Amino acid sequence: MSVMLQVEGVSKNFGGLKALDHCTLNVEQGSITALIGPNGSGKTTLFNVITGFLPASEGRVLFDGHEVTGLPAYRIANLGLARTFQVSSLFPKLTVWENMLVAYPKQEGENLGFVFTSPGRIRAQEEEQIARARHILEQIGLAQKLEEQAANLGAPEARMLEIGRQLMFSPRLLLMDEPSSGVNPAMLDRLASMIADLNKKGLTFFIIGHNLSFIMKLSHYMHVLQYGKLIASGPPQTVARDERVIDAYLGVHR
Amino acid sequence: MSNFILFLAGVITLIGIYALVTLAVNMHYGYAGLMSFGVVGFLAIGAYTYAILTVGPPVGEDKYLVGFNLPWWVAFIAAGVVTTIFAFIIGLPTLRVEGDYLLIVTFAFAEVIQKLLSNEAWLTNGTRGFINIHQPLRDLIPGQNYQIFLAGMVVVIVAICYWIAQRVGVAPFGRTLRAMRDNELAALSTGKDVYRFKMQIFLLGAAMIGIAGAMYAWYMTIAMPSIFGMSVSFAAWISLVIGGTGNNKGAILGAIILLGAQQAVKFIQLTPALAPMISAIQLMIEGLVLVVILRYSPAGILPEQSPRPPRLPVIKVGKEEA
Repeated sequence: MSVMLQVEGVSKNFGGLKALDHCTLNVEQGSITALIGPNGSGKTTLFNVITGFLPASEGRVLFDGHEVTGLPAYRIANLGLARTFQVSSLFPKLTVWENMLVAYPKQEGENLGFVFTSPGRIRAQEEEQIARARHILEQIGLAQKLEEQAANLGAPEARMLEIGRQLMFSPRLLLMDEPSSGVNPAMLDRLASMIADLNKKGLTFFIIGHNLSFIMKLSHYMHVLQYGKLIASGPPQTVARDERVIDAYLGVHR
Repeated sequence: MSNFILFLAGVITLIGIYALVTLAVNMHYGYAGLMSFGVVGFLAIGAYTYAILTVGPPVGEDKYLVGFNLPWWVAFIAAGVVTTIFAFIIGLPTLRVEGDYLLIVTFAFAEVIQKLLSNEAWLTNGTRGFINIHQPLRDLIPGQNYQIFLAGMVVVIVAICYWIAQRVGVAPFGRTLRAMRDNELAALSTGKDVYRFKMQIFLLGAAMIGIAGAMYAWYMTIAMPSIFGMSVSFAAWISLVIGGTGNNKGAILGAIILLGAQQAVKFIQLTPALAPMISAIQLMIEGLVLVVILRYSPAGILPEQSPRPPRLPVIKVGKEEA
């Protein structure tokens, strides 16, 4: 297995606060890699730096061996690196199907010239993509809500739609920030099996998790952050027994 | 009776011009979430471009240096192009920042344009402005019929622009605009070059306002700084809020309602002493209508509507042999 994402010595300072302190970690291609750590340990900050939503203060990020540090967020995304957000991030006034179709890459209909010169090509592409969208919506249980406004969805549905939308984007690496938050237990199983399925088909995952049982079962490899520093890495079973990790989560017992 | 028809033609012309401006504001704000108050600045640039390019050489006390004496259609196209260039220069820095900054900058822009029109007399003839602006095909249609012709011409141009706006709005382009308006971070995470989209729609809207400016010059036949005040921007914005943000039909409807109401007030014939009071009441009525609309239908009379989803591709099934 080759390395898909490399984070090399990344630091992020907010004024005097070191949110990330020389983090170095890898995500293997084809893996489900987890990122855990107590609240405020810098997990989301690391995601924001990787995806270009925040500039790094130090260090660099490589995706597929190419440096992406400093690139604008949309360009990093277009390399095949998608993300979901801690709070489900939808387009509230758009319908479910529009939320899905916004995301597919290389849209002919986003070119103002083509809107007038090649409506046929645009229509063909849209029809092809709505079929894909329906297929994904069936998997995430939203096929019946095609024309519902995203603003009217409940929290679990919104979460599933956000994931579905990022799948429309056909990424090669999907960063998920707390996918289990807002999802009820029944949905959670569905989500877990969906992630496992997609992973078997070749999609690499990098997942922030608070729900430890969920993330332990799912992931092949884990990184643990505390106070912006990487304190442990390894397979879930090893990490779970690591003294420093237990201390970080439960506090040091003296 | 014929007086009434002429009055009506004038009203339709004016409504058409405002409808086009409102349509452009809808593309900026309704679709892309760009708070642009520079509307009247673009309108003035369009009108002045048209006036300067069609006017003859200066005579008498005229302060401008060159009149280009070009045909109306050249000046008409130029009005759109020049306005687009100005929009590009303004958009370059401001579209990168978020929300209110664009509003402030475009507001200031419109004020600056008005001052420039007064002060750069070598180009704009100062506060005197231009009178007797050349109207298209004026020589061919004699007398009063021209007002009716002009109304028809404006309606046709507005209809074409509406068709363009509608086409752009329902296309994936419009969908992406609405998406980034709703949630810019999520749009970035799906690989959208938000700045490019903002710029494109900003330019397209500005071009339409520029064209509306040229038509305003046809309608008024004068162009002077004092007619390009902020109230024009507000009228377009109020029309949009009444009609429905994010809905092109709503933009047109809003302009018809607001401008129609303003013109209808002119029917109230009163003594000259009462005239100022009527115009004050007009503003009160506008405010009242706005409050009532926002109270009972906050999304406007025709709220934003998503297009229907594209149909599933037809799966061709081979004919079964009997």
